[in-house]
Amino acid sequence: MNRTVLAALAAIIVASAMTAPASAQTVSGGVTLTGAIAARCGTVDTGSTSVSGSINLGELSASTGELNPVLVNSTTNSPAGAAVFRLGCSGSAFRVTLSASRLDNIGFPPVDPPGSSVVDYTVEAKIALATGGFALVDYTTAAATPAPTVQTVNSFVANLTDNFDIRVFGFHPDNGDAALMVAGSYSGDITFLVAPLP
Amino acid sequence: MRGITFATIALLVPAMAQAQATAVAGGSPDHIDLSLPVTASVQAQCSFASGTAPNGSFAAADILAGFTHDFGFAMQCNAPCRVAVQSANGGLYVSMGSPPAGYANLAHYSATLNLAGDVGVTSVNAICDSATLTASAATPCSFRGPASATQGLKLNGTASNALGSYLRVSAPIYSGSVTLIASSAYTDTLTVTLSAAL
Repeated sequence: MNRTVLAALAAIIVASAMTAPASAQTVSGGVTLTGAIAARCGTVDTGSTSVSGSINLGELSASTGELNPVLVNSTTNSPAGAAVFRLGCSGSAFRVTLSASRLDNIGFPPVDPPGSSVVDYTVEAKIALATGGFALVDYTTAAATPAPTVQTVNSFVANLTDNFDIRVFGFHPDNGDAALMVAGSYSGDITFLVAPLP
Repeated sequence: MRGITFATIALLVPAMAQAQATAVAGGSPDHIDLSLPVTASVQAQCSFASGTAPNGSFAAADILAGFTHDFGFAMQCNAPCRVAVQSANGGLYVSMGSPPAGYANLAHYSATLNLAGDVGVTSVNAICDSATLTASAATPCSFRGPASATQGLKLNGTASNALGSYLRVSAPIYSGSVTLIASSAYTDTLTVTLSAAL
């Protein structure tokens, strides 16, 4: 009887030593990530910074020898020619600088009336905006070269295909619309710069 | 020696308990058989090794250019464990209200978790998109935190300050269809938790 009691007592003592339960604990650490995206403009989001294109107006003169009235009477809503691009800016504001050179008969000096070997025109950048609507930036060529047009646009660019539309219209020979156009190849350049603002 | 027999059994249980049983017998037979079940446990414990918790910061100078960075850590676990990660923002995020169509203010990245244990313990590795690491992610990452006995990437073995564990954050050169908005204030916080896996 005593043996039974003492053996039972020993078992109880051992059991009491293992009552501390195993438990899971959680510890933690923390890391902070920061990053930046610079304000930029380009043809694609990661950054090609130049675009090129061409506008071919074809035959400039009408059967009368004068500048084609279609060119003379062209407007922003009915331009004589256009080139479209998809440009993007990562910022909420950007600056457009626009300039152009006169349409000039290559290698032929300016002539006196009634002839003409130089044509002035207006170039317009029509930029679709994310908020809807467009920003319009104009530049008109002249004998005395005007300063480039510089215009700030306080909006995101619409992230759409053909969001930059460069159009030309309002052509006029330097010696008047009735001037006779000198035969030859004519060329002019349009330059636009789209730069992000901080 | 016949008469009373003392059988003394010392039971040593490291750090948990020590028990002693004494059996007393008188008369015949001259010995007793005493069977005592001896059990004990060691509590599962997990922590980051001293000074090696995944803490710190990393700055991606240009998110669009891509980045990669490792936050190394070492664990001290005497049992299988689980590690989990939770993201505060689900990506590098800048607060600015609703971005316009075609733009975004959240840059996703990848989080790679690699766990290394003691010699003989197989390392484990998993990768998730940052967006799946938030508390509210509809389809959470397999190691989305917080860690618990059943949640997180499991290392099926012990780790005694083993080297080789890391949390890697990375992103390739950005090629998304939306434009990430320019800002130097993109940020995210990752909380790494460690728990014994029971």
